[in-house]
Amino acid sequence: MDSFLALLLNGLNSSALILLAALGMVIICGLMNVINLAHGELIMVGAYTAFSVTQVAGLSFAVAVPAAFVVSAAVGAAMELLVIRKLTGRPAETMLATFGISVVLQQVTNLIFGAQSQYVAIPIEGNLSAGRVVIPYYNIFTILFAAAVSAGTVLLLKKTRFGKRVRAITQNRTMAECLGINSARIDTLTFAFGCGLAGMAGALAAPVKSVSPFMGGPYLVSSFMTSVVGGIASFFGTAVGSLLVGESTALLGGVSNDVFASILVFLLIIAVIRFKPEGLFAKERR
Amino acid sequence: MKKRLCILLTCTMLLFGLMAGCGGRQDTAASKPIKIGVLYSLSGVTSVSEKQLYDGTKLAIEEINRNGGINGRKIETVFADYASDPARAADKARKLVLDDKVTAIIGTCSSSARKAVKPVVERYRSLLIYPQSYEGQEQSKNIVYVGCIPNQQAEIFVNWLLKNAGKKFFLIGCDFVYPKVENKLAKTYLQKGGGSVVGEEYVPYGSTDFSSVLNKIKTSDPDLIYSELTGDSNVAFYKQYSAYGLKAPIASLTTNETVLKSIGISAAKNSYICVDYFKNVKNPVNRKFVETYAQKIRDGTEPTYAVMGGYNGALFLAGALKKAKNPEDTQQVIAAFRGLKIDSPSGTISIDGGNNHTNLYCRIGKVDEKGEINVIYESKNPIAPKP
Repeated sequence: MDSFLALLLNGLNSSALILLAALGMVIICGLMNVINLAHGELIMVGAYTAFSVTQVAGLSFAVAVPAAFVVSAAVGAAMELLVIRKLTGRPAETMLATFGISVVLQQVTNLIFGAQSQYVAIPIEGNLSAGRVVIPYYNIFTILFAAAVSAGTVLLLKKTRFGKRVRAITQNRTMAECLGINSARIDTLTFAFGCGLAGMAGALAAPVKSVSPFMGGPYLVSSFMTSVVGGIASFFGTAVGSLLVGESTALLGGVSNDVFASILVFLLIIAVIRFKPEGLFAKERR
Repeated sequence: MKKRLCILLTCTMLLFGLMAGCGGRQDTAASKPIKIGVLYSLSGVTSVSEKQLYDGTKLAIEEINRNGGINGRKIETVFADYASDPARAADKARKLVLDDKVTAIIGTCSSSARKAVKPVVERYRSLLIYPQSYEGQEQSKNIVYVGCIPNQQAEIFVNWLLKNAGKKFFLIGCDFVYPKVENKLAKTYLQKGGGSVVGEEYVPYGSTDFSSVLNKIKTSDPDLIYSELTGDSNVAFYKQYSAYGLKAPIASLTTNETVLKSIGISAAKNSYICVDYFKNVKNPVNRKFVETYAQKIRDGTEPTYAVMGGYNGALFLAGALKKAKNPEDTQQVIAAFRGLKIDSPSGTISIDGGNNHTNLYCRIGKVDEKGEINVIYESKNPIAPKP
């Protein structure tokens, strides 16, 4: 029972990181219908920002996280202005272009920082232990942070004027433009916001994972999987999706081994998509 | 008039050209550079390790050329980047041997890349100097292996750990051939030495999520974690292991000084590493090498056993080229490796002519409170390789 609880809590931590990474995907792929293959690299940019802020500039982790948001958002805005907006309605070209951007980002990072892993100190050391159940304080922080950011994003989209504009454009772009909404500017801001969220995911992952130029790949895969399973435009669906993916990987890994677990989780995802292609909690799309 | 001028100019140019062609090109056979292929990836997944091999090889060749080259002839390197793709490694090797006509190739890192290049050097009767430590169980007339293999590393390490650190081992590695072979060998050494295996886990290559593995470690209560994890997985494991407050020391076959910097002192201290070379090995040749490295390579990395592999590979090759009567005849160069000895920063080491592997010292290091690796065990003599 103890062991089961421990696995459950570990899974919660994995789910939190997966959720953070997938939130940006929901906004960019779900709301804007843009397939961004450089998503993993924007996470990597956030992680390197956290490295630069904490290790190079010597500032605290509390500065690193917003800095990661800002830097990744800036990169995202540049991407949107220079490339994405020219390829509206052309998913294949967008995928190709964003793939190219991902390679460029990887190699530029490699050139500037080198291919070796970089060190980011864990901001909260120590752990909480009760019998056989151990949970590091940083894991608790990650879970709370992911919940807060998800709630904040949903509030932003539902309650603020900016959020209303984003939703208006998603539902009926032409009408929204007729009503005076500057859709081009909102597009850039939305894309940048999604990329900023990815950057924060990178900053949170940096102290407990590894910061290297090629770290982005696995995050891209898991973000796509999670948001597709949950329903690409649904935040609630993605939250459920990330819980599903995180917990099943942890539990299955606990009873068998990690390699087998990842195979089973992918099979599970394929099964869900096979029977519900729009995801578990799909929003009605026009 | 114009036509005559043109003809005059053309004839003058031709004349000059002839004179230049006939004149004083002192490129006799005695001073022509010797071409050596250098085959590493500077991009892609294995580039982290290969950059270290490349740095070592580059430093060695610069040094050799500075000290007079090969009997007065400089080494000219032809570099090929195979971007971590074994198929491309084979292509580039073929190009180096057939188009660039190199005498030998120093390069490759992963076993898959080496296995892809092996048939190329064997078919075209060329030579590959393989600088990386690997799982053994291979031999070739056309490959010289300069890195350590399990009987020079794992066997000694396991027995030392059994005597000094504990009996219950938890084995962990990424899911591919090198960790699986090493763990299989470790189990035989443990059985012979009276140790036991309380767990054996493999994670998907590149995975950085160790939550279920850490739970298993906590439940099985080992004395030691015996690890062949590499790359991002390795760094993430040390960090998460320490965050969970687990106490048994980690014993690694792959960690090095540069990786330690990204793990951080608090997660890495008191862990053990076993390889053939550490930066803190104390001998005069190494002292000079570490200084040269610090001057020439300024990208935040440290001299590691991978750097030393690339360096030793080039030094051995230079020794063989000097010994061979005709350094452009690859077969003579291959024969010249037999018994070749060099004074390397990792000690005086030599090639075992029987199996083309290298006699190497085995060293065990422990990471101290300052993040430095202290060499706590060094084999008295170099160990003969048994691939």
